Amino acid sequence: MIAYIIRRVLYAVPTVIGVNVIVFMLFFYISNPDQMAERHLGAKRINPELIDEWKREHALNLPYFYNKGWRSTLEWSLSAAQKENKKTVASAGPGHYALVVETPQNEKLVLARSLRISAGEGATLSLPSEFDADGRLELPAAIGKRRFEFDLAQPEGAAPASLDIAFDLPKLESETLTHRVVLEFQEPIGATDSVVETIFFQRSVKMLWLDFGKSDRGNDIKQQIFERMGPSLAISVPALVLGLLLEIFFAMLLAFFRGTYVDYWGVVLCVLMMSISVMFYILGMQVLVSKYWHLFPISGYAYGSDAMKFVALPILIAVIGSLGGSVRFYRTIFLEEINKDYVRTARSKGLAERSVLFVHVLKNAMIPILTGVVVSLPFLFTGSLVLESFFAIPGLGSYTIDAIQNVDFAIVQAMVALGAYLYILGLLMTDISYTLVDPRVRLE
Amino acid sequence: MRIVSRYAIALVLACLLGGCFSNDPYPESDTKKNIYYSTFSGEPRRLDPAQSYSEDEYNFLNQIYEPPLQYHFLKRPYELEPLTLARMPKITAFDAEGQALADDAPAERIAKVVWELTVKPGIGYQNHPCFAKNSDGTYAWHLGTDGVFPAIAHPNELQPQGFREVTAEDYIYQMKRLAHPSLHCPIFGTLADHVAGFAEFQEQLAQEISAIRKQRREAGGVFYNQETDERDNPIWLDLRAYDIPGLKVVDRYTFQIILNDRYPQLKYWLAMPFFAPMPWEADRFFSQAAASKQNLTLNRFPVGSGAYALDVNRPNYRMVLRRNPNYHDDLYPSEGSPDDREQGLLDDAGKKLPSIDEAVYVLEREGVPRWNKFLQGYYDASGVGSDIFDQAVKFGASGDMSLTEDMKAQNISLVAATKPSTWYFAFNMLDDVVGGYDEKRTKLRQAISIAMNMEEYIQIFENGQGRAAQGPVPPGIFGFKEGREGINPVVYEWDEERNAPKRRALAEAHKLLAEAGYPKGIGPDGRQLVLGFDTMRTNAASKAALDWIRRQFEENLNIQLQIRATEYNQFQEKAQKGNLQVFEWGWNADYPDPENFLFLLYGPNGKVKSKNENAANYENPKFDALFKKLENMDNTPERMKLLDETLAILRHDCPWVWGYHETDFTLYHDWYMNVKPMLFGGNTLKYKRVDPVRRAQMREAWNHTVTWPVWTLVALLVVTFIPAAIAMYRREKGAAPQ
Repeated sequence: MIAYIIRRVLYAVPTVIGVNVIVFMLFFYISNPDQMAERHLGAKRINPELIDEWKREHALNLPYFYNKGWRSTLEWSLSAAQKENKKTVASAGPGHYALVVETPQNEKLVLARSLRISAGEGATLSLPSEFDADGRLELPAAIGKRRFEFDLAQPEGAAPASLDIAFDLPKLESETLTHRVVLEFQEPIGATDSVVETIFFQRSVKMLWLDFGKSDRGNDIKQQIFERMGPSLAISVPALVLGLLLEIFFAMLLAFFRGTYVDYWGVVLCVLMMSISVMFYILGMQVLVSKYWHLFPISGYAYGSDAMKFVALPILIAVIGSLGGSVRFYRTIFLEEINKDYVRTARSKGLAERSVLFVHVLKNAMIPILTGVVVSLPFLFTGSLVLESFFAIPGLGSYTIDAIQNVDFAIVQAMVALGAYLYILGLLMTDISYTLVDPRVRLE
Repeated sequence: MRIVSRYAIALVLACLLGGCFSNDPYPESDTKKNIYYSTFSGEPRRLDPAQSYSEDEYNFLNQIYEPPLQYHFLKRPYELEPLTLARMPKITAFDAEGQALADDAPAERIAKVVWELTVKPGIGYQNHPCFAKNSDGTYAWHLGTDGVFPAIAHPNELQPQGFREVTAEDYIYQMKRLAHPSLHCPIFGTLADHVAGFAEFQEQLAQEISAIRKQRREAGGVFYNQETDERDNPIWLDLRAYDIPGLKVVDRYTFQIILNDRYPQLKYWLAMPFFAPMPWEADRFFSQAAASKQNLTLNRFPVGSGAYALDVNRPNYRMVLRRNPNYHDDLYPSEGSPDDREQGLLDDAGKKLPSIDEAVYVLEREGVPRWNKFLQGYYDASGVGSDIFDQAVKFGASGDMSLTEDMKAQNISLVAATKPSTWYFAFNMLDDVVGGYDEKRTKLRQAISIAMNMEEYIQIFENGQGRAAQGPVPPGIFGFKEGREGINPVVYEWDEERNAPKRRALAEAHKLLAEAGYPKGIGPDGRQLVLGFDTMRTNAASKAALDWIRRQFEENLNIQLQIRATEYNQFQEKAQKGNLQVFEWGWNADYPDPENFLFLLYGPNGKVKSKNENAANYENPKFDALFKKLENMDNTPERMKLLDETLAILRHDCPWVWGYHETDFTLYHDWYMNVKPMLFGGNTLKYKRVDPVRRAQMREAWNHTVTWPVWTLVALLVVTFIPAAIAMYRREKGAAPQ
């Protein structure tokens, strides 16, 4: 069995990596680092410099998966604040460069103008064909974001040459000019660095050893998870135990009275309960139990023993919410077992129907029940979104959803990775639990 | 089984007899304490005064940090007064030769403007471990790189603690933090335009930080992770060591801010937590490995000199403020209007602040529980959302508003105030159809402005609460005029009988539409005019409002409107690219000055052009010139004249349908006192008073537990199972089933 467990754990590694890659791609397909920065910096008074700085701070200025060694050496926005129209990199030196030019994406705002790149004495530039012999580029209206790569060559041993970037303006009406220019230099980069120096590596690899790091707003994720776990467990564990006991009890009862009025109306009641949405139970119970009868606080939470009065109602609702469906399901399982040979044997031994059901049938019906229950065990601590939000329980239920809404990738990634681990753990536990209840099952 | 059920029944009985049922969400021991109870709905993200800039966070920050100035609690229109200063800032302009200039000196002659601020002596910070010293004079909790704290969740668990007096140096320290590149201060750009040497200072810090990072990365090897490394070994720059030409400490209590030009709006920023003093000890304390390893940051645990200190910070559960024992002498204001006196707002005049010992803010995400707990007396005040509006407020025959009988029975009071905000429907001036400054397109916009009946919108979707806007400037802000001279003549005429503005008739809109080249909504190409309307309202509840907007265009003007609803970040992206035609957006004032609204239409602030706040991309040189002129003026009659001119230009050009200004409602119980809406500033908690004894009485009267349903339910269950139990018994005694 040990070999089996080890094998299963090893299977988990590619699964978790795969999950990480998919979540990463989905998330960054929906929102790019610029949008994440905007979201975190707030809606008011944002400028490109602030966004760049934020991205640097959170290592989101790196490429996604593969780093070709580009480092920005000059970032420049022409705006009302900066009235100069020429920038010089004093000792740029030879190498491969890229110039990224961004213009407002509306042609009415872009007057026809040109850009010129020139190098210091003794150096030669090999510019792309869009540039003329003089190093000048006519910028068409509204080019959006464009990238031009070029080389700067120098004779051996010469002092690093300078590099000039200048806008030629028809008139100096720089008040209304907001071209944005980034000059990047391609550094020679090692094979490992080109993989390591990426957003994916910096953010995802540590998930493998459960180092979740900080959320994008700066909170420690592991600490948050531990803090929120308690309240979620305070509801989900009692709800599961109580629910399971009641469900099995009622299902047994219906099986015991199969074919009588108890069975018939019991099943009707189950179907009825299945059809009602949990939201209805929540709002109805809150109004009835808390608002009119004043029996429990309508929402809230307290740590320690005071938690009782806050969790009673959510537990009740969680139990009632799942009762109908589960009782019907378990009833079916019991009815199937009840017609098997060993039951007839037990009965013919003269055992009471009660002990036939609760001793013999229950034990054998445990396998399908366990499948459902054990796999859900690890998820107990992630809590329930709806219940926790309506009862203001500070649990984990809404953690992921909130993070998605706040474009907080770090949390989403951590929670999804955790979810993957838990699922694997759950399946493993199910397999192991089979061997405990059914001696015929062997794990090799 | 029988045993189990017997236990269950015993437990229920014990519960009922022991009276364990109670809907009181607070510990019983707190019932009669001087505590204020409130709620918050979104987790506060940033509690660092250099970073935070949102209403939710200011709710807390304003009570904890004290900027130099504050708004007077009672006086309206809003008036600034010294809070931690001995007097209002002394502002002197100098020319290039260093000669002091008169107040009315022309802007060209001004070389620098010096703001001199003098702090009151004897203001103390809250108690905090960062101030604690050992007997040898070293700081007890400044531990260096290898130091470790015991496992704690809040810095106030550390002992010993200490406090010290606020000095001029601390204000300068905080202002330097505003330029710190890692803090992303939202108003840095604004300040850098005015404060001498501010932008260069940020550049300098940024370079130093990136040099440190580069060095660490090189030393760190392949598996270097910036985040992990900076958690274990944070980068701390001692900002005291830097000199900025724009910031100067004169003596222990006096400091100067030196600006490049006149910028009177600085006084409003001086009333916001951005400018609250920050002790360097706190910055040092939180920037050491011991703190950051346990996720203790200044962003989560503020250290201020305000009336309250943050005692519990669990943003997904509750926030608790506790009175700062070192709070300086601060008295309840004794000046106010006769109205204030009548409402009892001056009863506490001259009393020492604060009155409340503790403020508990509970996270409530859902409206229903929040509202019901207010009605049960567990929250002292409540907003009035649209879902509960009908339960709280009713309208009389003449349209006047009053509380419902249920509210009156509980002796609940209501206050209302028009918010200094505006919600507008704008045209993208870069668009070919609705944008542009020629007569035809202007007329199209004017026609739409008349046809969009904001009064009806307010009636339906804002419960009649709000005010149709006559321009960008909301009531209560200089430049807004009541009555006949304040109306927007393009959309309204003056109704003599009702003595109120009246929306122009639809016929006029039709005429304008025809003149714009779309008679009856049909364009020159013979097709119906189709416009796109962009919105960030994507939830189901907004559908009715969007439908209404669509119908306004279709039924009133026969213009087809295509609603394009996207999430807010996509909406923002569209705005930045200028891919909008007609859209809606809103603005909340930063401070009570018309400049803060007019800059939303200043040409160089164009969204597409400079990613700034002018989302309509409106650019009219005449307006821009006037704006530049009035931008930095004091509120003189001359400024009013310029404002009238600018408003006239805007109303004619119609870059926005001027939308509406929201009204804010607050309901509160009779044990909660000194409630006056304060829409700027907001350090109001210190003025508030509660009567816990009365509150305890009312809570008891309103929350008798009703236990008979529990009994009935238990009885019902027992009764249903009796026949089953009998059947079971019989079957066991009888023959085996066939």
